[in-house]
Formats: sequence, C-alpha cells, structure tokens
Amino acid sequence: MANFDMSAHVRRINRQDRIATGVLVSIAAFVMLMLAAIVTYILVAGAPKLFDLNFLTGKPQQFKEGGGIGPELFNSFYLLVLTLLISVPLSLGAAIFLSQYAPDNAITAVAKTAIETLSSLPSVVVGLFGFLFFVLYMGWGFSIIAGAVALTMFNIPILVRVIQQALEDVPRSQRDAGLAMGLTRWETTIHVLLPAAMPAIVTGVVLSAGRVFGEAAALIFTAGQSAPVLDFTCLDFSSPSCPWNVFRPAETLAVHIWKINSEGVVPDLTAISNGTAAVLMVCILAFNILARVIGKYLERRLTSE
Amino acid sequence: MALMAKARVERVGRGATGACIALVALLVVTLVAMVAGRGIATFTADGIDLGSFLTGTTWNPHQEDASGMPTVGALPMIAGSFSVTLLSTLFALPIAFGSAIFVVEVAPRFGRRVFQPLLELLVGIPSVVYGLIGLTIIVAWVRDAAAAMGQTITGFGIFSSAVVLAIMVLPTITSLSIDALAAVPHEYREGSYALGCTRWQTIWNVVLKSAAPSLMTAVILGMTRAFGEALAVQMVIGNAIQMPSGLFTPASTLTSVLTMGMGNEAMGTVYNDVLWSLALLLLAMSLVFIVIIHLIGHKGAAKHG
Amino acid sequence: MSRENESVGACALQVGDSRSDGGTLLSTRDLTVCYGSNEALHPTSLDFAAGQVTALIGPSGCGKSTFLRCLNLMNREIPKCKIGGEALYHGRNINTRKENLFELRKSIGMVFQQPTPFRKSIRDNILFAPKRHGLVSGKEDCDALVEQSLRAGALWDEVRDKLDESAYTLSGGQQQRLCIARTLAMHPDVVLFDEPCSALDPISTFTVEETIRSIAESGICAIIVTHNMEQATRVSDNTAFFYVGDMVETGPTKRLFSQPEDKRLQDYLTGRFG
Repeated sequence: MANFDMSAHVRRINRQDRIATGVLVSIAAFVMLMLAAIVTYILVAGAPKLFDLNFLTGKPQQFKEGGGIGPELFNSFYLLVLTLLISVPLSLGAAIFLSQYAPDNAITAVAKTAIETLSSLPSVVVGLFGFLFFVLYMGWGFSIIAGAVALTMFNIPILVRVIQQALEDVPRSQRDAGLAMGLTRWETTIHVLLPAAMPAIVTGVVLSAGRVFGEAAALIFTAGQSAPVLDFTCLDFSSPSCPWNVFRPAETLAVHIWKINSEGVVPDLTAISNGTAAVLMVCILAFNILARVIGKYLERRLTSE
Repeated sequence: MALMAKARVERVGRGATGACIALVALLVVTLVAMVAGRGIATFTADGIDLGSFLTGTTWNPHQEDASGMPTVGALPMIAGSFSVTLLSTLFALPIAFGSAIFVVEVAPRFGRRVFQPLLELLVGIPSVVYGLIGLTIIVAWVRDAAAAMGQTITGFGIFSSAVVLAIMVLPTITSLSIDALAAVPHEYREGSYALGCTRWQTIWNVVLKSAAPSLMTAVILGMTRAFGEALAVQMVIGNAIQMPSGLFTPASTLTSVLTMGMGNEAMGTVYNDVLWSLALLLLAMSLVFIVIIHLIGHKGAAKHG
Repeated sequence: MSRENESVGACALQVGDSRSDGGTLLSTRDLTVCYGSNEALHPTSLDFAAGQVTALIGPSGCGKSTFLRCLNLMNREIPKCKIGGEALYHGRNINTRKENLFELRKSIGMVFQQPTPFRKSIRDNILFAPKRHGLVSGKEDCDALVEQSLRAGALWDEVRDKLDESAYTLSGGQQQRLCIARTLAMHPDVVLFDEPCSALDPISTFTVEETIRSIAESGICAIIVTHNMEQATRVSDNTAFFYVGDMVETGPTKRLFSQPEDKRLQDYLTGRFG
C-alpha cells in the first residue's frame, strides 16, 4: 500500500515538474516573441520612410504633409556627443574615487546615496530640475547645453555603476602589484586597471549612449521642443540656425515623436511618427550591436596579443 | 619630463576624482533642495492646505473653491499613478519571474548567450517608442475588444497604460531577478537534488525562498521605474484629471500632468507652484522606494548574518 | 644569468652557517597587526640580513603572510588593518605616518602568490615602474635595463626575441620570473616573496627557486613565505616558524629543521598538523 502511494507521489511530482518546465519555456518564448514583434512592427511600420532621403534630411512641417526629420536627427547625435563628453569623464572620476580612494566614512556614504538617489529619480523630475536650474536660473534658455547637462544627470548613475563594476572586476592582485612597486593608486588605476577594464567600460558607455539617444522626458523642458532650421554653412556660433551653437533649442527624434503625437496637427502624423520611431530603433539596434562588437574586439586585442 | 613627486600625484588624483563625485553629490542635493523649495511654496506662500491637496478629488486650478483657494486636489493623479504602477507590476511579475527562472535554472547557456542580450535591447527601446506602440496597437486592441463585447470606449486609460508599463518594466525586473537567482549558492540546489527533489520542487522550496529579499528588491526597482515613467504613460492614459472610476476610462498620473502642464503656465502662479508640488511628490515617492530597498537589504543581511 | 648547475643545497649550507654577517638590512621590533579588534600577529621581532634568504614557514593562517606584508607596509592598503610596533629599514623605523610609501616600496620589492603580469608587453612590464619612478629615460638605458633585469630573473634567453609580445603569452613559471625581473628592475635591496611557487608546476618551481638563490647571492635580502618545508630547506639560509599569530622559533634553516626546540615546530615538522 505504502509502495503504491509512493510511486503515485513520484508520478505526481514528476508531472508537476514537467508542467512547470513547460510553463517556464513558454513564458520565455512569449517574451522573445514579444520583443521580436515590437522590433519588427516598428521597423516595418516605418520602413517606407526609413529609406526616404527626403524624410531623413528634410525639414519638419507643422501643418502640411511631407515633413522630414533632418534637424532632429542631427540634434539627437549632437546632443548625444555633448552628453558623453560631459558624462564620461565625470563618471570615470566618480567611479575611480569610489573604487580606489573612497574612505569608509560618512562623506562617502552621502556620495553613494546621492548617486543611488539619482539612479532612481524619474527622468521627468531630472528634466524639471534642469528646466528650473539651467534653463531659468542660469539663464541658458531652452538649449542644447541645458539638455546635455540634464542627460548627463540621467546618464551618470548608469555609467558610474558600469565603470565601478568594471574596475572592481579587474583582479585585486593587479592593483596590489602596482602598489607594491611604489606606484600611486592613480598611476595603477590609469595605467593598469583602466586598460584591463576598457572592454567592459566601452560596452557600458555605448549601451548607455543608446539609452541617452532615446530619452525624451528629461529633454522636453531643457533642450526644448522646437527645431530651428539648421544652416550648415553658418559659422556664427550665436545664431540659432548654426548647428553647433549650444545655446539654441534642439528637438531630438524622441521628443519629436512625443510632440507630434500630443499635438496631433500634422496630417501625416502616423507616417511621420512611425518613420521617426524606425530611425530611432535602427540607431538603438546599431548602438547595441556596436557595443558588443567593440567590447569583443577590445577583449580579443587585450588577451590575444 | 620632470616627474611629480609620488605623494603629489596621489593628492592630485584623489582630488580630481573626489571633485567629480562631489560635483555629482552637489547636483543631487541642489536638485532635491530646489524641487522641494518650489514644491513647498504651494503650502507656505500660496496657503494651500496640505491635507486638501493630498486628499482632494477635484483638480481645477483655475477655479476657486468656497474658501477662495484654487481647487487643487491631487488625489486623482496620486490614485492614477499608484494604480498603473501596481497593475503593471502585477502584469509583469509572473512573466519576469518565469523567464528569470527559465534563464537561471532551465537553460543557462541559452539565457546568457541569447536571452539576456535581448533583454538589454528591450531596456534600450526608448519610452516614446513604447508610448507609440501603446497608442497605435494596445489602445486600438482594447477599443476593438470592447467593441466586440458591445461596449464603446476610447481605449485610453489605466489598463492600456499598465500594459505598456508592464512591457517597459519587464526587462528591469527580469534581469535583476536573474542576478538574484544566480546568486543563490549552488550547494543549496545540490543539497535539494541529493534529497531526491525534482527541479521544480528545488526551485520552489529552495531557490525562490533564499532569493526572496533580492527578488523583492527587483520588484521595487521595477515599480520605481513604472511610477516615474512619464511620456509613454502620458501618451496612452487619456489625460483626464478625474478620479479613476475604472480601468478603461481615461485618467492621469503625476507624471502625465507634469509633462502636459509645466510648459503652459508661467512661473510663480499658483497653478505652476502646484505642479512643482506634484514633482515633489514624485521625488518623495522615489525616495520612499529607495528606503524600502534599503530596509529589505538590511533585513536580508541581518537574517543571513 | 646562465643557469649553472651548482648545488643549491650546498650553497644554502654555506651561507646559512655564517648567519651573523652583520649586514642586517631590515628588522622588526614587536611588530603587531590588528584587523579591527583581532590581533592577527602578536609582537614579533626578527632580523633580515643582506645577501641571505629567510623563509617564513608555518601552517596556513599562522600570520606569516601578514607579517611579510608589513615589511613594505602593503597592509596599509587593507581597510581597518593596523600595524603596531617598529619595522626598521636601514635602522630607520618605517612604521610611521610620515614614511614615504612610494620610495619604500621602490626599494623593497614584492612578488605575489599568483603571477601578476600587467596586460602589457614583456618590455613594458619591466619598464613600467622604473619609468614612472623616473629611473630610466632614453631608449638605450631602457634596453639595457630590460636585458639586465630579465637576465637577473633568468628569463632573458627565453624571451629575448619576443620582448614586444604580451606578457600573457608566457607560461605561468615564466610569468612569475617576469614579475621577479620586473621587481629587480627597480634595484631593490629587499625582495619579499609571498608563496611565489604555490601556483607553479615542479619544474617552474625549481627555476624560480634558483632565481631566488641567485638574487640573494647578488647581495639582496630575500624573504620568502612558503608552506612547503622542502622549499624552505632548498632556498633559505634562515627560517622563522609562525604558529597562530606567534613567531615561535627562528634560526639557521639547517639547525631549525634538524634540531627543532619548540614542541609546536617539532609537531609541524613531523606532520602532526599542517
């Protein structure tokens, strides 16, 4: 009798195990299918515009059909480059301090808490602060530079975490070897740890670039929602049509999608926003692939020499 | 090239990196102080009662109530924010945990090679693109489904927002859960298998139990993201500032009102101040989430010595 | 440094018997180490002479590595680790806040348990620290230093044709000798070895041991932590035995291993614990 119960129990738990495994597999399959569906939908829906040169380089229209996204495309990249120029050195410094120098005291605790707070702040709050502080208080107005600083605040926690992790993943013995030769932590970090951590850092920076590229909430009140027509022959850095002028307002691709959808006055709204989303998606995919390729390449160069 | 004395190199390195982190900390403190300063002005300078702000159900800043004060009850937005957050977490949770278990316990190699990079891509998709998908697909689906059941609705509302947010927080919760499950020592599993337990019994009784605090943290971080998401929600929730009466009627959240309203009002008006109070509420809520995460961490640490 | 087939054992005997040659370079007076409130090393006084190899032996966790890491103040890099007492280097107490760690570690080199070459070429591994210390400049100086150091580390013949290749192309034993050569490039007068052979195969171990002997013969004070008693007898002139944070017994290696006085050392040598 006991024997019979036992085998029934075993059958039952084995069936339970098979069902559970089946459920898990289908959940994972569902997630991948969903991702594939999203990416495919965006690319297919925007495909007609994706290869349309007039769309990619043309100027946006407010009330008529056939507007382009030329300035937005340029703004997105320009803003990204500026953001990285500010946020990478700053995060590098902060991460080096936290992983190499940080004394075990209250000040370090405050700094760590500050970064953690920043990482969990909604980006719209970061944008509103940028509006209050940089746009109004500093008097920069809706400008690329205000947008870049807001995006920097958005990007710093991500970068600091990635870089700190990369530095701490370098074996401790490497650092000790440097210090045991009478070198400073600074020299050891710059010449030994950083090169070894470089593949992970570069991958992290490029991935974060993708996040920055698609961010909109932090920008609508800082870089603004208008895209002045750009004249690439203009070298007058105070002119709003000079592309390099950092004090001009600059709508990005992501902000463009949000704005035309919330205003809804452009007649070819769907086509334009689908097209813009596809362009955005292609860029994000490119960043993702690039991050992996560069990371792998650096890793190979580092280990195989 | 004359070499700097080593002690000086070290001082310069420590100083430069310390300055980076000090700057970041200063920015965060400034952010909190400025947003708080603005947000509190509503109650100190404009004389609006905090209680009626938090519990009032009518939002009509341009209309004065009986006491001559603008009617600024924020409860509709607070309720909206909490409902979309909770609902989206509810949607995302089983899928996130399921795929995390799949990645760690069922197919680790496939998980690391294919599934996790795909998740990272999902994180990288800009929130406006999710908003656009919500707008063009999910809202339409909900509307059609209702129509098939003989109901006429717009499709905008808490349900659609929650679905969009669920997709957005899914990768966050999943990848943190993967880390949590992977951190469970292998001996625990082997101990369970040695007792003749099936994989599912092991996962259910051993792995999930010992990873519970970290899984909680993953969920809270997902909720933080959902609570603070602005544009995607704003695009699909319908933006009607009224107490949510159902999942399928237009509503609004703290973030959606902020993105809609901030650009329209002049600084210094009561309406503008009230918006800053909403921003402060958002800020306070993300601080609460951080505190919860820390409490979980401490409790977990205390339990495991 | 050609690899002569001289008898390492005979050599140890020779130098080991002339222990008090007066050239004490480094010594400790009641040196202690605390991690937080836990005293990991009880007051220890030892002398180390130039031109000699001293082995620090004992079971794992006995404080021998902790002691070694005080001699170049590497323990200062560990948070909450406090060094007490005195460490005298050329008669000067180095365990002070004012001590210039960078200068000190330049002249007291250290080789670790795991080979720790940097992800650089063999040449740059040698030149990295000397350049940062301003010891060499100019291509000829550099080339000379590289050759001299690699010869001293008994690696020159094996790598002379591939100086610009990554140090990671070398075998484990070669990497460890590169680390020794890299340390010697700064012309230290003391070199600390922290179980330098525990990650190596027997043949590499033998070569590294030979290298240690030969650098001691060139006048350097070598101190080696090892848990391998045969290794201690092969390379060292003097030995100090550590047990649970105490320096139990010290003396010429030959005497220590043949006539141990302390009961704990006798037990250790006969394999009662280890």
